[in-house]
Amino acid sequence: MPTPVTTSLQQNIHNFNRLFADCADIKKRRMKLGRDVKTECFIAYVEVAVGNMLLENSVLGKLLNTLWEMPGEEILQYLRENAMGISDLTEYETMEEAATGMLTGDALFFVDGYDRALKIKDKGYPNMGVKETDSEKVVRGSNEGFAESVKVNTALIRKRLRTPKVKVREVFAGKRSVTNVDLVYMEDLVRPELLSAIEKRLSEFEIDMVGDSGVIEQLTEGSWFSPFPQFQTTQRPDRAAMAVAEGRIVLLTDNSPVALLLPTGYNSFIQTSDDYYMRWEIASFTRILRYIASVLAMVLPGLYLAVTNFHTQILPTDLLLSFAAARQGVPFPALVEILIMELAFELLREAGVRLPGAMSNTIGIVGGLIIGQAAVDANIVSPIVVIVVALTALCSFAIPNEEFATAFRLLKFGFIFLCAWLGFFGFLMSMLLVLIHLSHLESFGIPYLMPFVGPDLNDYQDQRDTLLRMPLGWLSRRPVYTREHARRKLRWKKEKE
Amino acid sequence: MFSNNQKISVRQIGRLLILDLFGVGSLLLPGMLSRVAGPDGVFCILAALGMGLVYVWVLGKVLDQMQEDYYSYMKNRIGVIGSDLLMVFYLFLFLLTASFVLYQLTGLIRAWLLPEGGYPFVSFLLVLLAAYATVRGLEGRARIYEILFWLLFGPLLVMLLLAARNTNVDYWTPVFFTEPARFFRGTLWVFAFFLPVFFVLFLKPYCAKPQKLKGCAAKAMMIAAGALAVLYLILLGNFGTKALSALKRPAITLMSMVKLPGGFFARMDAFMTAIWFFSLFALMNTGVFYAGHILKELFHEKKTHYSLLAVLAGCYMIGQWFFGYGEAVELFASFLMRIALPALVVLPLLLWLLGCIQIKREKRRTPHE
Repeated sequence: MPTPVTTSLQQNIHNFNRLFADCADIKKRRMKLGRDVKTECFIAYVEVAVGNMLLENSVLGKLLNTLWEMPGEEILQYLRENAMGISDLTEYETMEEAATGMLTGDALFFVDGYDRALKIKDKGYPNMGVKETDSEKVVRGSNEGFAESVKVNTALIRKRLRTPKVKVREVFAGKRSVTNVDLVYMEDLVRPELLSAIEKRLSEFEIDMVGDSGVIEQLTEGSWFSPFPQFQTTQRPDRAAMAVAEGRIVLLTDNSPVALLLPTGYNSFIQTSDDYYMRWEIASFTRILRYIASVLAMVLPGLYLAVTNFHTQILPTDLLLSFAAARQGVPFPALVEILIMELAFELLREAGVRLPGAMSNTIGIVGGLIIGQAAVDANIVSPIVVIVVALTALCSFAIPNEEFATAFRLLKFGFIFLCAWLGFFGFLMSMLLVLIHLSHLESFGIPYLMPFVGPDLNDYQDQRDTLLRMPLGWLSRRPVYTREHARRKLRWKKEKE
Repeated sequence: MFSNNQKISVRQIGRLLILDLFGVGSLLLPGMLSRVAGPDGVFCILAALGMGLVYVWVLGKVLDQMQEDYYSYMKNRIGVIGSDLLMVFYLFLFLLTASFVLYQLTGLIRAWLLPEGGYPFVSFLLVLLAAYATVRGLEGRARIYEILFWLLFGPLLVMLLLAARNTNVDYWTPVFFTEPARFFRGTLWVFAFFLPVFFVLFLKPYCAKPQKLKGCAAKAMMIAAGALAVLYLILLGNFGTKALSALKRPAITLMSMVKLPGGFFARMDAFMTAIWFFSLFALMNTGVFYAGHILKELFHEKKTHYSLLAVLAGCYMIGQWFFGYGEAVELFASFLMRIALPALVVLPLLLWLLGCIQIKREKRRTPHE
């Protein structure tokens, strides 16, 4: 049963103290307002989240200063008439709602005789602010990255799409964390069924805490056992804005600099923001490289094993002899060699991620120069295996999305074992297994392999932005993610001569 | 939104059909044709294409009359018992086709990729793979081959172009010297390999644009026949009639002989086996899918996969029979040529004629009502 905010300040303070007993970080202040200093009020806020309440440049400061200079009997009247007119101010009728409001990082204001609690916006919780992204680096384009506050992130998208058609729907997730989750979409482009689908999925679970968008991602995706992510993640506001302009939905979670984009597919993961900022020739070239990299990151070590252990006839004799010479003195079978190097590499990667910034560079040197060279010198692995593993690692780094690359990193081990066991037959089996899985996988009703499958659904227009990124002038249609009859995105004002 | 509507596009059906028609045909037909018709084999392919197009026309007529699915269509024409019997015949045919292709695919893998692999083991793995693919449904299957189509045919085209350099056109002659009986036999063989086109009868409820199914089948047959004819000419030009007749899987032998420019790869046969691996798997998977589908229909199974399990077990066991019993392949060929082929041609024709009669009767009856 919710506790109502009453006209008795004493009662409200009592109820509030009951809710926030043993909360040392909640600051509470009683004051008297009005020229005659008779009207009692009560202010509560999370320490650090609210600045100096007397400062003229804060809403709270301005309000207090106004109320101090007002005759006592006019204060309630003023609040009744103007409360909703004051910017960044929210009224609550129950104590629980008011408490939740305060915990978003704002101040709570009770006045004796007034049966509402007022939430007054202040500087909010401390966060890291807008900074450059660590991942998804681009050659050309904005370097701005998402911050950790959902409101800042929403603003970063709106800054790029200044139209009232951009809508932000707010929901809360986490029974105890009460985390803001914002769904950002373009009203006239989004498929209504997509919006209902994500809202339905968000309402289907109740969890204690949502610490990051990753929690939402895992609880709302359709295929839990797939290694492939069914949400695209980004830390770049320009990428997110682009997605909104394509009719997709951006899901922002408070305290997370990682936005989720839905729906998504293989092709979306390979695209980067600067694909559209650079000339089409180089954009297409790098796009093809990334596609090849995504396949090689998964198959290369397995293929090496299949060829060297089962189908040596594929290689020219000279090359085969040089492979054999390089392996001379190595006591392990090729499978063990590959596994040693792959595991060493994964360890280096993990160590590099966990170590502080300055030290992580050292890991590169230790891994690349010392372990690699020493392993070859000690005849633990052959140089060709080092090359294969290094090339595989390069390929996995070339995949623009970390979560997507992870799927290939994991599947690589499946390929290694099947190829070591069954040679090229194992390779074909693994490829077919992955293909069967991918062909069935979908992200919010959109096949994962679109537009390589079903390109006819958008009149073959989406194929212009797949392996090749055709000249921007030809990309006049939004992708299939957009609702039908709203897919035109480029119009020439007059016919080109 | 787009998926899980149990509908596949005409493009996907076309690509599936091309792989079904081309895969096993390109593997086995060249040697068989060379034995009976020599250089005239290419005319056998063209003649079979003509027959095939007539057959597609008949299938198209049946499709035009079909309101729902093929089973319901048969029920309307010949009653429940008759249609059930025909469904059992189709079930048997799909199962045999899948098993024969499984046997061929296992043989291919053991010959070119995994000589040390035992037949039961390799075929078991393939059956497991087919189970996974079939459980994933028709849409997923169609998408796989939509993607794979150019990945398979692109390299094949390049290899054929490279192989064409060594073609000796003298081997293409003399023509029109084959006895009519042998020519007819060759044509019938090719036509038998085009028979999987009758799958379209079962595809209508799953096709996004059923009105285009007939054209799609005809186009697929023309492309497959064209590809077979080109392949046959290149094989004939490279090996000559006698050598071609002696080779078991000449297309893959040819791939092992083609030298890629640059010299990084000495032989491409292992890589190119992928083409036949995927296309034979497609046909096997199609057989398993429809056999399971028919069994489901017959036993009114809704949510479980018992029918599929039974079909997979049957497929595996019949495959073992092909492997273990020396005359099994000949028996299958005999069944195919003497029973299945005439039945597959005559049945749709009869059903269509029956349909025409029924429609006429109904038209006659309507003015009096």
